[in-house]
Amino acid sequence: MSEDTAPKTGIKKTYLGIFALAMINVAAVLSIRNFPSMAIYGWSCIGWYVIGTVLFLIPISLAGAELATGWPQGGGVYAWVKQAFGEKDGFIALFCEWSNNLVWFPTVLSFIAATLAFALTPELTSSPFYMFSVMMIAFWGTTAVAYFGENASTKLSNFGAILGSIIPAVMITLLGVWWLATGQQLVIPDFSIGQLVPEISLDTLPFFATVVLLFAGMEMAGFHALEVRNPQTDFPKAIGISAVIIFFCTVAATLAIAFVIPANQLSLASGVMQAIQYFFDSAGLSGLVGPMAILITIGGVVNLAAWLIGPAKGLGVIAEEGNMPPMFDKTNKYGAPVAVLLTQALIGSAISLLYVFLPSVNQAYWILSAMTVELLCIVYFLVFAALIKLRYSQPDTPRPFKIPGGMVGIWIVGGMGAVGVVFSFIVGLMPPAYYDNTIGYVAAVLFGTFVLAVPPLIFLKLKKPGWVKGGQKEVLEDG
Amino acid sequence: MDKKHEFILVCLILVIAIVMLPVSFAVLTHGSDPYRIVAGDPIEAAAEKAGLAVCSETENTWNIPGAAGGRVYIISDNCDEPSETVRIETQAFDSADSRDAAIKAFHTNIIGKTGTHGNMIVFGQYLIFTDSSGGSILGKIVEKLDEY
Repeated sequence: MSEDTAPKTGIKKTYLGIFALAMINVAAVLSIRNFPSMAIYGWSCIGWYVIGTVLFLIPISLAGAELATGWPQGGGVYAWVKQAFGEKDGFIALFCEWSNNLVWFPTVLSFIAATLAFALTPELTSSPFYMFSVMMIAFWGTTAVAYFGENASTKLSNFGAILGSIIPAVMITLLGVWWLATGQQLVIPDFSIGQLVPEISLDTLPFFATVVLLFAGMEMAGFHALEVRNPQTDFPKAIGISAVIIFFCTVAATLAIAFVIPANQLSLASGVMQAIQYFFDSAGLSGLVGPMAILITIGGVVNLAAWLIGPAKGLGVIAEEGNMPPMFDKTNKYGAPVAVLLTQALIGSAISLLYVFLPSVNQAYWILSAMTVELLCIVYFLVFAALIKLRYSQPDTPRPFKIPGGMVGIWIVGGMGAVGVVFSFIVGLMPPAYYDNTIGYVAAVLFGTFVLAVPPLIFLKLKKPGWVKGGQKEVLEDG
Repeated sequence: MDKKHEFILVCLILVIAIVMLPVSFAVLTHGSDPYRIVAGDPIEAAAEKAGLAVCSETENTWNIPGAAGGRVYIISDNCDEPSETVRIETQAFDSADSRDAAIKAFHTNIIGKTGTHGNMIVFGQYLIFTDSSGGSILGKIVEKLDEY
């Protein structure tokens, strides 16, 4: 991270280095939450991870590296899709990424509150008031960090990704190695190549689709393009480093859990911290459960921060270009899009309120979760399509990082990613196995997805010449 | 339309699009599962009505607040030569608050940004959890649970 001082505001402009960029992706993607769920599959978790890596992690990493170095403007996916398909599709892509977050925020906030409760008193999770209070502190606290601009949010993601994601993953892995080295009994069957192959059937299709999107968020560093001094060289390195960290931490820590906890004890119904507790109790390190809960809570906060800040910055760029009313173009002296952050925080709080206080709701959560899948698939489909299209429409634009293999290479990478997300989109419309009202479910998911994706068309319809500021950003004075 | 009205209009669009319509639609069309005490063993009864066999049954208590005990069932069409098997966990809760907290916990334990693993069904004081296997058997059991 390096800094320059802006002459007008006197505020130091922060430039992100390779490490800081890599940590943004790590914060967005690497989550301890995934490990117990994946450990149920034993050795075949490796097969599932390979599927996610081949169908998504590698394609999105390569696509992100090529697009970010070819078009290093602010806005991330917006800038890339806009180049390929125009402003409208770019706006839709970014808006889908932003609006799916608003539906997802309550789940990650609830995870943060429940994990913290585990370190304090687990019974607190039954109190809606405790849950809502902690959720709001985490949400508005993270928004406040974003308010203080790139410098503050970079420090949070650097510090938080290491403390809350990498260190817990390494600790779990080391315990797994110790378990193995001391000759303790492994609870998974003996290794064989056949054990690595995942079972793929109609019943496991929804899980297959989940695995494809397991590494969603690898494009997050692209939103910070304006804060990178040498995007052409730094982006590919950062994306490569983050992909390697995420893959190895995920596989190693998942296997470590699979070594120690029997699959029938990994009931997902009872939660991640229960699995972590079982893991540390088995190793005779019960005293570490509380500190692990704190670290995982920090991991949840930085995961939230990465998704909260990136797309909001993208929406700020769209507002700056005059596609939203000028009120949304307001940035503060730290360069943070305050109006977008405030709007996001208010809507996120309203949804969180419903999430916590609506009693006895289960199926509605399935529907909302399915909507987030569909919206994410739209985003990534547009990104992969843009990758391919730009090779045809702008072949001469310099791309310091170019996916090797010419047009064949681009079709393999873009095609693989696009097939993966189209598959996930279709499977996302399948109701849970027990659900009897299939048409109602599909209609609800499609309707919700449409409503969450359509506002850009309304904004563009209402757009006025006065909304464009000719590059002059309105700067709010603090206080 | 001045700036202030524009801002209000846009906020209304965002709130209606993001909060009101999708969330209300999802909640209103799919209802809720009020807490009530169900007597007997609903899974065993539903399996029997559906012509399925309970191959094994063990006691189990989840390590979460308010969990009051439940069972793990292995259910199949034929225990000796099964063509399909499902593992079902049930757990009773001592209050609506603790049961609803467990529902939320399940929905927050997602894989990646999007996916849950398995199915969670709410039935009276019980939460019923199954992994990804045995989809058609589960469908038959749920059908009979609705008649319980």
